[in-house]
Amino acid sequence: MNPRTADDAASQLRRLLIAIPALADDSPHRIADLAILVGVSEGTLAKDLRTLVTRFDDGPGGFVEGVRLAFSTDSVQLESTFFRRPMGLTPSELGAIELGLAALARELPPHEAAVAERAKERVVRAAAGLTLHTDRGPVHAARLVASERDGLHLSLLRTAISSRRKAEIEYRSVSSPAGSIRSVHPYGLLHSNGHWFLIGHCERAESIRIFRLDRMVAAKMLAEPADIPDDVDVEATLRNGRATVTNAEDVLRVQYSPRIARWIAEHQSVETQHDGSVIVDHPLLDDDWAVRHVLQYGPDAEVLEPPRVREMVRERLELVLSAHVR
Amino acid sequence: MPSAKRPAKVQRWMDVIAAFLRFRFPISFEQLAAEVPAYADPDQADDARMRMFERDKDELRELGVPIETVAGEEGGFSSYRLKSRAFYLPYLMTADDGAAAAPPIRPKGPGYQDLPILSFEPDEIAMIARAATRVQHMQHAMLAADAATAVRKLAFDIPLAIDGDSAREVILQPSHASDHDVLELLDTAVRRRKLVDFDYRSMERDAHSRRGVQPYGLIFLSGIWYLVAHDVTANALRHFRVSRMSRVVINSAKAQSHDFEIPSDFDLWSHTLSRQAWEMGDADATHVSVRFDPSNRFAAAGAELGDADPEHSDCRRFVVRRPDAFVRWLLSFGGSAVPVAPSTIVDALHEVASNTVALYLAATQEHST
Repeated sequence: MNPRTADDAASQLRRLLIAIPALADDSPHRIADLAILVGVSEGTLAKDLRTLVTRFDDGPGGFVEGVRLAFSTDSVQLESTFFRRPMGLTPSELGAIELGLAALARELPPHEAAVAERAKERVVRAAAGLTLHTDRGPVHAARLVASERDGLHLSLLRTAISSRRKAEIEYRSVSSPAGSIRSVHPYGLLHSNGHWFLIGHCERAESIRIFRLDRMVAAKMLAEPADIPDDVDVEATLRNGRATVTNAEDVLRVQYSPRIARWIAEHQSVETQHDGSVIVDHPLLDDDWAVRHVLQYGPDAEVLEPPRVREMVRERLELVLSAHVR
Repeated sequence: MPSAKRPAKVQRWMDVIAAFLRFRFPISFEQLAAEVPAYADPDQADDARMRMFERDKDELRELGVPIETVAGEEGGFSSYRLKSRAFYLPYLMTADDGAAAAPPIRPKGPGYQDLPILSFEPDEIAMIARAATRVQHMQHAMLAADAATAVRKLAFDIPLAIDGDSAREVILQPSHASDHDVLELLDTAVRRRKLVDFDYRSMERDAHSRRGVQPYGLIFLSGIWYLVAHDVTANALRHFRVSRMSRVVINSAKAQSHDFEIPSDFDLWSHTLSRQAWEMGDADATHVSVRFDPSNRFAAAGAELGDADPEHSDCRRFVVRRPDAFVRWLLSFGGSAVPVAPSTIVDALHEVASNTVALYLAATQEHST
């Protein structure tokens, strides 16, 4: 059996079982509308429908005998006694929705988490026909926020963005480790490399800032309306805004060994050396951060610049060696 | 008959499903063949036609069409059934339409009259839309497609759409995203409880090794997919980064039967709680006791990740599956986090610190000469 052909038949079946119930109400439908509903191109949809009704022999009919299909230039009409309801949710479709609901239930505040739990029970009932799959456990699990607190903040910031209100956050950063209170006009949220970020206009800094969710100690929505440009594009803001955020004057220059070069290159642009090692320039905001960053790679990372950070790394290593418990 | 003249496979499948829906009781293969032209092909031998049906039945079940096999009495032939209630989507309603809502218009034809009606609260519908949108963010093409199809089906009756306001919420795809074909293979292996072999390159050893595992589930954590699996050789539960797997092969023997069972006390969701790098490893678990300097703010924060240590009251205890990652994490505290036990970790930290400081001493000597 050619798996490619099986896949195609499977995809066609999925599409037809959505298209036919939408079509089979004895009135013409625009092919363009139907294609959007099914989520494919008009050409694919028309081909699926033609494949369904084309017979090559004069043998006994099958279900297609009872199907009448009429194409005009941009519309299609179909009559059928079968497939006038969509097929119920399949185990994998149910699994996907359950996964989303279970992930939400674990990150939302309790009253919303309860809604997610209720919705999950309903969806399972809508798929109650799956009698063959009584032993199914979850195939996937997911966590998109690091902690319950981040989940609460995420939910609150979403509300602030959609209701266009300002947010007040208590934020810990390298420049203010004790935390500072900021009023932010929230533009949008971004998820990258396992972290959520808020992008917005910070009143204190009087410019666009990017805030990491897991560094927010507290967050609340203010009554004041937020000033959010209508055409804000979070991704573009991030690209343009990065320069204003990392306004570091110093550069931390690190050489990573060939052994870990591949993993470093996964995350950032690198300058590859003849021996396979890579050199990366990081914006240097905080010497303590720099030392911790380099030490986590052990002998696989070496500070090249600046000399004062080199010296700090050496001193800390001496401390580790002297603290060694025998 | 030339294959080009055969009806398309999807047509045969539709014939099969329609034939089952026409009958309310289990039918034999011969009864089915009378309704499905492809199974009545006079040019084909009986057993070839039967084999074709067996394959179709397995594939349709795989696609979620719940065809039941009813065993024949006293060794007689099996019969088959597809209940319309199990095949069609029930009728769905929004709960706040209340008593004023008209009952659904049921089309004429077999199977529609006894479909149940289910009602959804408006907040539940909104939550389902959010859930489906969430799944689009999980960097898993098949899951995203399944969630989208589920929404399309439910949207026949209830107002539901995947949230399209993406300008305000962006998920950046990492450059080290997992291969979608690998994820799909692993999904299948988990569902069918089939053994899987793969090449795995781990950062610590920077080497490929062939692994054989019983796959229990997949977890998406901090933007990364992991396979949670029972490693057969190590006889222990392990986490493997999907993006570091290659040459993934599912055991093809006895495709329709399970190779193993997942222990009843296994809880996939509990694995989403452990998220430190040293907990997500493929080695045995070790308990490590560490003393932190509370006056150092980084060390104080690090201490919070551990548990109370029953043996050393001034220490925190960690469960470590990747000693190498844990030792490097300790090193990053620069002397403010000191391991006290076991000696393997104590010595490993000393060794890695010695090797690292050598870099700086050697270079300093170079500069001074």
